[in-house]
This record gives sequence, C-alpha cells and structure tokens, in this order.
Amino acid sequence: MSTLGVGFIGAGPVTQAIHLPHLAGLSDRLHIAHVMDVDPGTAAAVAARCGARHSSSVEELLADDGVDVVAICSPHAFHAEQAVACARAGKKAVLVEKPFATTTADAERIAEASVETGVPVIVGAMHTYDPAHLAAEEHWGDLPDTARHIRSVIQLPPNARYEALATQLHSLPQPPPQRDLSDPAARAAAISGSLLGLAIHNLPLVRRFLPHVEAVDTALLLRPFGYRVTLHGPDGRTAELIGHIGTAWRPEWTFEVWGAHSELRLDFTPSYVRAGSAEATVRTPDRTLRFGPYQHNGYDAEWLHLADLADGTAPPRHTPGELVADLRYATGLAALAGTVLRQQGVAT
Amino acid sequence: MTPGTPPTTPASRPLTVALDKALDTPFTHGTLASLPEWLRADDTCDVDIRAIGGPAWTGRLHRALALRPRAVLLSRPTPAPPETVKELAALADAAQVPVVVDTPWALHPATTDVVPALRAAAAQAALIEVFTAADVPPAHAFLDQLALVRATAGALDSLRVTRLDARGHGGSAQCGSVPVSFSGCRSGIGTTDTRLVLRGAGEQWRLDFAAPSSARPATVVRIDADGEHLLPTRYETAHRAAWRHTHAAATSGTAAPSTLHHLAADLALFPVEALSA
Repeated sequence: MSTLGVGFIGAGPVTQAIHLPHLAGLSDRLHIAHVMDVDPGTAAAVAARCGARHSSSVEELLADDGVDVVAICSPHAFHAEQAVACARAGKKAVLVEKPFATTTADAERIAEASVETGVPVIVGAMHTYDPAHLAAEEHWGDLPDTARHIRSVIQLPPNARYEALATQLHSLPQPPPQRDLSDPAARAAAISGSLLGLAIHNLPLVRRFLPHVEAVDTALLLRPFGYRVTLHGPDGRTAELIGHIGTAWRPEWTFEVWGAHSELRLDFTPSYVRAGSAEATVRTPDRTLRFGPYQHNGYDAEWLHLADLADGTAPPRHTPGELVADLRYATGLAALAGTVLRQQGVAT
Repeated sequence: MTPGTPPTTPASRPLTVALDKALDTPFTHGTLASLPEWLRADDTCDVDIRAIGGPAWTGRLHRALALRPRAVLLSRPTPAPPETVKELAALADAAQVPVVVDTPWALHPATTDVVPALRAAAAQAALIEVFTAADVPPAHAFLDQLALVRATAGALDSLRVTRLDARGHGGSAQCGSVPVSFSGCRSGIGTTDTRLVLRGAGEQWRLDFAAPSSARPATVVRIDADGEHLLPTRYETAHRAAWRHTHAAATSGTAAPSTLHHLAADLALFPVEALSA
C-alpha cells in the first residue's frame, strides 16, 4: 500500500521535534515528501534526515506532485496566505499549526477556501483528537450544558527538556527578547502572547464547556513565564486558566470540568514526548469511568485523521466554521485579558 | 509518639466536655471516643471544655466564655462580622480561656506537620493556588481556604473577591510578593476535593485533602530536583487534631495553631455581604 506524502512549510523546532518523529511512527500511512523552509540550509538538513526533497519557497512545495498533505508550521502571520494557497493548489488535506490565523478575517478566508475547493483543513489542536478525550466525550452526557467550573492547568519545564528527548534539533531557536513588563502595553502583549502561545492548546476544550465569555475577571502574569486568567460566561459558569513554564521537572497538563451531574478530568501527556494519550475520568455520583492511556497521543490521532481525510475515508471532525469560532474565542479572550492586565494587573 | 497517645503518667481524670447541639452528633462522639483518657462528653458536672458550633455561634461563644471553662473548641465557624470576632477574642484573652478554631485544612495534621517547610517554599513560589470542589456553601469553603493559606504561607496583604455566589467562589490575593489564587465550585457529585499547590522555580508542593468527615489521609507531595516525595500519610481528621489542641491548651496552655485572632483576621478580608452566609 502506498503512503501519503507530507510537505512541511517551515522546518523549525515543532516540525523537527514533534511532527517528524510522530510521522516516522506512522510510516504505514504517511511519509515526509518535501521540507520547505525560508532558510535553505535548514530545509536541506531537515529533509536529509527523512530522505525528502527540499526547497525554500512555498511555490516549489505546492508544485511537488509527491506532496498530498501539507503541514503549515510557519510563523503565525503566514498561516492564512499559505493555507489558502494549499487549498487552491488542490492538495488532499492541510494541517495548520496553532493558531489557525492571527485574525478572524484571515481564519474565515481559510475556511472559505476549504469549502470552495473541497480541500479539508484542520488545526493542530492535538488535544481535540486525543483518544482518551474522545472516549470520555462519548460518556460525559450533558456536561457541556451543565458545566459550572472549568480548570485548565499547563505546567511544563522549558521546552528544551522535551525537545532533546524527541529529536536532535538542527539549530537552536533564538530565545525570546526580554520585555519590560512595567509597561502596561508590554504586559497586555505578554498575557495575550501567553494565551495564544500556551493556553491555546486547551482553549477549544474550554470553549466546549464555556462557549461564551462575558468577561475576564482577573489576569496575572507569572514568573518567569506564565499566566493565571479567570473568566465567566453570561450564565455564571466560570473558568480558570493557569499556565507556567519554569525550571521544575514535574509537568502537569490537566483539564477539568465540574458540572451539575458529573465531573471530567483529563490528564494529558506533555508535547514532544511520545508518551501516549491522556488519561480521562468521568465521574458521576454512582460511578467513575476511566479511559486510557492509549498508545496514540493527540498528534498521532491528528495525523491519522489527516490521512483519512486525504484518503476520503472520513469526514472532518471539526467544520471550518468551528475552527473559525475557536480562533475568534482565543483572540477575543486574549484581547480581554490584555485589557484587564493593562488596567489593573501588575507583573510579579 | 502517635498524636493522642496519653502520657505514661495519665491525667487524674479525663476533661469533661459539653457539646453544643450542633456538635452533639455521632461524628463528634466517635472522635471523642478516640481520646478517652483525655476527653469525655459529660455536662452533668463541672464542665472543663465547651464545644461551640453551628449557625449563630457568636452569641453562644460569648455565653460560654462567661462560664470560664478551661478551654473552648469552636468548630467550623460560619462567616461572622470580624469586629464581633475581635471582641470575642479580646474577651477570651481577658478571661484567659483559650479558644481553638476547628478548621478542616489549616488544622489538618498533614498541614501542621509541614508548615515550616511550606512557608519557606511559599516565599519562593510563582503562584500559590487553592481550589475546593465540595458540597458546602462557597463562603464556608472560601473561609476554610483563607485559614489554610494563612497557616501555610502567612498573612495575606489583601484579598480581591471576584466571585462569591451559590455556585462557587473566586479571588486573588498577595502574600508578600507572591500571588495567591482562590477558587471553588459547589459540587454535589459526592466527592470533596481541596488542593493547595505551590508552583514555582524551586520546590513545588501539592496537598490534596479528602473529605474532612473521614480520616482518609491527605496526599502531601514535595517536588524538588531529586524527585517527587510523598510525605508520610496521617490517618487523623482535622477535627480530632482540633480536640488534641484543645486538650493541650486546657492542660498545659499550649497555643493552638488556629485561634479567634486568626479567624478575625481572615474575616476582615471577606466581603461584607458574605459575612452572614
């Protein structure tokens, strides 16, 4: 059986440390056909690792008939233009890494191109594909309707610790510049960036249980990198989002919901390391159901879904409209948190 | 020595205890039965210790102090005006009657065992967070959380309450330079879940408490560069620990870790509308 060819736009750390190892583990369905990066040296070096062709332009990648599926792992600002180009080029499926786009208008452009061309486009929100999450979804009943409180906690060591276990990076990324957080505008930008960079992994799940944000109540930046944000919806349901990247080794990546009749807990494995799916628990007064861990994590499941989409054997799990709504939710939340922090927050 | 083990030279007699109606329950009886050499429910003679609990407790505490017992145990006080509690604290001091405030997390043996280490770690934390999901009024859960943070991290500089209604509570505070977050959700699923978590670059701590009505131990984990260390389990409720502290206060004048002064300070942070909850 032939396998589907994948082309990468952008060959940075996420491509090298997350996608390439995961695809290698799915070699019965997918292979890497083409690696494009604006840095020709990076493109060549990364392509050489997997026997793929390489280039430094999107046009060359799209002209490669061996590329069935495109993964867009470029800087966020280029996602929309590149995703639309992939759909127009008639590729079989497109993966856009988080965030889908930088504006809702751009996200809508991608969605329109997907609908017009029939080329399925998905976002790399891996936890929405996690097998334990999906198994729990089958059993959580009316929890999305009765949810009262949501907690999303992402605590991680520095990325380098897990990147080093996942691959040997071709080149180390530049650390982000130091910001002057005494400046209210810088604080607002920092919280917005933290939410769109880290919290966004769980935001599609948060939206599922708190679909409308009425207000952000508190926003706080944590040392050395992180956030705590609380919010509520018009019906009084609440959420707290905590993210922290420090030097401690112990990770925690949890998502919990308390509802009127049941509770949900998801314990995800960290990104980069291929440690299987989340473990999910659905608890009611009468019983506790547990799901996972399963062999495949969310990235594996995401790629297998892409393969099914490209083969035409499965419908998209999320419609383009839902992906746009997810982005609108994330950017709206980030803007609200930025406003709160600009007005009252103090970096600590 | 296991807490509650009587001294080799036993006391001449157990201290007599008079229970408020709200505390005259099988749960209290079962607890007192675990300290039979020290305490005995008996209000037919001179009462050594008076136990106050339930709603409208301030008036009954006032009357109990007037009787000059050797000590008072105030169990799970509901929110009350801080001025009233301060007056009661002053009255107790003047009467030289120690009052031990029974609170489920601050007095839990798992907490009191590690207070010095927790305080040191808390000062270095990037965030101290406490969360409760339980089927108790949110104002009560919030007050219990304040006591826990006061015991483990120190006095709070301020408290901003962002939510306190029938479904839950939320707030944020500063303990020195360290941010503290409070949150809770009233949950009727049947589980009780209170967590204190210190997140930061140095030592991290996580305390997970089970329902206070049983001696199911809290899980206390310290995380440092060498690994994740599970501290010894303690199969004792905070309620029994409160009785031990009360006995110690009555017999040897030992200061309790949770007093009316602490309660008044916590209530002073509370929003006025929650004080009658």
